[in-house]
Amino acid sequence: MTRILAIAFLQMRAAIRSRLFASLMAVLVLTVLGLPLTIKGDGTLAGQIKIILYYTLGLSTIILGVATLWASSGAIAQEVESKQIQLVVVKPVRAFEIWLGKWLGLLAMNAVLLFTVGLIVYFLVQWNIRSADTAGRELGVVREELLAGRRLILPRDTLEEEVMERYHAMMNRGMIATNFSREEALSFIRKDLLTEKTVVGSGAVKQWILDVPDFLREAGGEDRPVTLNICFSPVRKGNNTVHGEWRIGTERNPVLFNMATNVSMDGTYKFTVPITRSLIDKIMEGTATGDSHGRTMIVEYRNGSGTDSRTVVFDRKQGIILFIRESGFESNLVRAILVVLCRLALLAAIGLTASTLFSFPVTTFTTFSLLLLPLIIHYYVFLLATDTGSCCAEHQSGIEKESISHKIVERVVKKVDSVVLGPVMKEDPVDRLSEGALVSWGDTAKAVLLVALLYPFLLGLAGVLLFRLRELALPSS
Amino acid sequence: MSGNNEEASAIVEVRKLVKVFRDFWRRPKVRAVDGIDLEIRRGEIFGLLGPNGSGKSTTIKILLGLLNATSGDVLVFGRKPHDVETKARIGYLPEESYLYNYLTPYETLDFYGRLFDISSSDRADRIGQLLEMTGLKHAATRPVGEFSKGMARRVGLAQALINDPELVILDEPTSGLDPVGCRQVKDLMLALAKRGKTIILSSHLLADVEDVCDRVAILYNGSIRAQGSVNQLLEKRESVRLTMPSLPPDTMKKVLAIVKEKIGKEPDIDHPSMNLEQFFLEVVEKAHRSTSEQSGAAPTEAMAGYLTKE
Repeated sequence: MTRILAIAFLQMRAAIRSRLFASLMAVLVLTVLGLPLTIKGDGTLAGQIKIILYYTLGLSTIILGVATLWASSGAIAQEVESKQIQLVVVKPVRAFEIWLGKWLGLLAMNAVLLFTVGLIVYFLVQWNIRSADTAGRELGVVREELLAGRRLILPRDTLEEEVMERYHAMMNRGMIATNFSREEALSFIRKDLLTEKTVVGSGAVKQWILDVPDFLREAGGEDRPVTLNICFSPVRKGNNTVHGEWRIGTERNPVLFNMATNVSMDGTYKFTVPITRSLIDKIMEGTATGDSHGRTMIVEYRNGSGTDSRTVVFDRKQGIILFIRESGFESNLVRAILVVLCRLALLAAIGLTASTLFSFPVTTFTTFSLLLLPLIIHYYVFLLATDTGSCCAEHQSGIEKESISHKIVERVVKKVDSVVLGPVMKEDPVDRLSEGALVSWGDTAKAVLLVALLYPFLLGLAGVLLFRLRELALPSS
Repeated sequence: MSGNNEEASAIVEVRKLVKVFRDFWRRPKVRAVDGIDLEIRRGEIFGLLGPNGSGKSTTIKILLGLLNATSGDVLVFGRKPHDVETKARIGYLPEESYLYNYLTPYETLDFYGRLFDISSSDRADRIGQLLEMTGLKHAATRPVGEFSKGMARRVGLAQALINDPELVILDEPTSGLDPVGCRQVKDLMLALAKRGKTIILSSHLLADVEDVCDRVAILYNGSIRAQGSVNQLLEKRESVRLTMPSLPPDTMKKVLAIVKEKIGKEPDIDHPSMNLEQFFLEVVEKAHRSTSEQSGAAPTEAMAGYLTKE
């Protein structure tokens, strides 16, 4: 351990003495303090807080990510080039101790910088709240919706089951032409169902089923408010007002709460329904026994209530969300920073492993190119997901579905996207923080175990093997 | 080859060592070492001599595990060079002092001391003694990057001795040092050898090698062309040198007459003179006594205490 810590301290000392640390700190402080002044918000306190949280923390993360990748790319490669590493490896130091020491040094540097940014962001938010000239209601909304860690409950997603169900039904009825492949048919059905699930025509009724957790029973008070957030867009068609009737209830008692909405504007319409303690009690009571799906809450929307109305489109992901406050802003901020730190730890591991093999310029080029890979994979998966299955769309997306090689590539890429990249990129902690969504301890633990420990461990293993194989005193090195 | 009985066997054993440097496509480029056999015993000062590119540094780097042998056997303390146990017993001074420029001499020695897992009290003790020995005590808090080549070389030498090594490998140790420093390094090598330490010295300065080495190997083009003890290699058994106090002229004439009669020609006669190194050291010593301030490395006769302990 002494050797690992010695190398870690050396790495930190190098960053401090080379003024990398001071430069980064200056850039980050300028970013955090200066960025909110340069971005024009919507004039509300909530908008300002979102800018502080999303843009300053987001940009700081990007700056630190680039710096980490650059510093880690040079951590071993530059020492090999300057031959300083020769004096280290002739000492009784194992390759893994060098790799681990450097990684810990980079991690410590990032932790100090990131938590400093977090601290400034925190005080900036507090200062904005205290100096804001806003009415008590807006302040309350900011405190309840933004400066909180709220758990999101999304409606039950049964799309894939329904796709398969409809596919089999159509097959049984001989409704699918023989020249259609299974994938093509599923793609068509998926598209149809997506439309059915998100578009509510005039006079139509749409239901969402939300599986409510047991802990909802303890929520709903002032300290743990629960809200139902609704977001939809009327389709631009005439000047009709969108009349809607909302019902919240359970399977047994579908009308525990009802309300009406009248929307005449275009664009996206968002509103929040507070779910009171008494309503929660009724929901929990109403689904206490005999419900095959556990505790459920049913939200129903009737478009037009019999009158002529405009079609509305609900966002599939954000149309209906139940928010339950789980934690305060401070602990949510700490967890979000921890998750970001885990990601930086992964970047440091990528750079270090590459630097055991290549020269500094080649390592830098390789690691920065590697950053594009997840984006390419995501885009590819996006193309596959949005592919409608028609011949034209296939040719437009450039994907030839018929070949076996394509199928193999598609399967591998999807697997990599979901298994490898999923845990790293699925949920952006900064995004969640700025939306007041909970970054749970579970998410944090998952990030620590997978992103900060497992992946770096595997990368480190590869790095150590490569380092051991490398001759460090070759005339060219 | 076996390393079970270190006292009796060699500290370094090299058999049929070959090192071929290859290009990117793994095609052979240079045969830097070509079938070397070496055996270096405990307490010996062994000199590796040879012109540039003869394979001295490559051989040393293979002994240190910095390069892999293409073929042949290399054992240091009876183990492979990459072995961590082996490395713990070696001190190495490379041909250039590859130090971290942002560290001070104290921090440098502390860092390398930690790599040997030396306890903090021992570390502090040794660092103090080494800084005293290398004359860098007054510059202990200046970054190494500000040092002259000679001063950096002294830090390099100190780091090679922080672990009180059993085998010291010195690649051009006197390069960049002033004559005082050179003398100190040579004295240090002799003192270490006296304590049973083994030293491998690679140098272009033949006078240095001749001064301190017990045995030498002369390399050329990757092969050993001559190997043996210095006396054995340099001795001219057909000639004799006789040194005595100056004789009165008539006695001298009689002696010369007898010698001429026996060898059939006039013998060569000269007066022994002090060499330039001795003269220089005397001048510097006098100057040091008359000056109180010092900006470079301070001349010192002190030897780090832990290095002289039996």
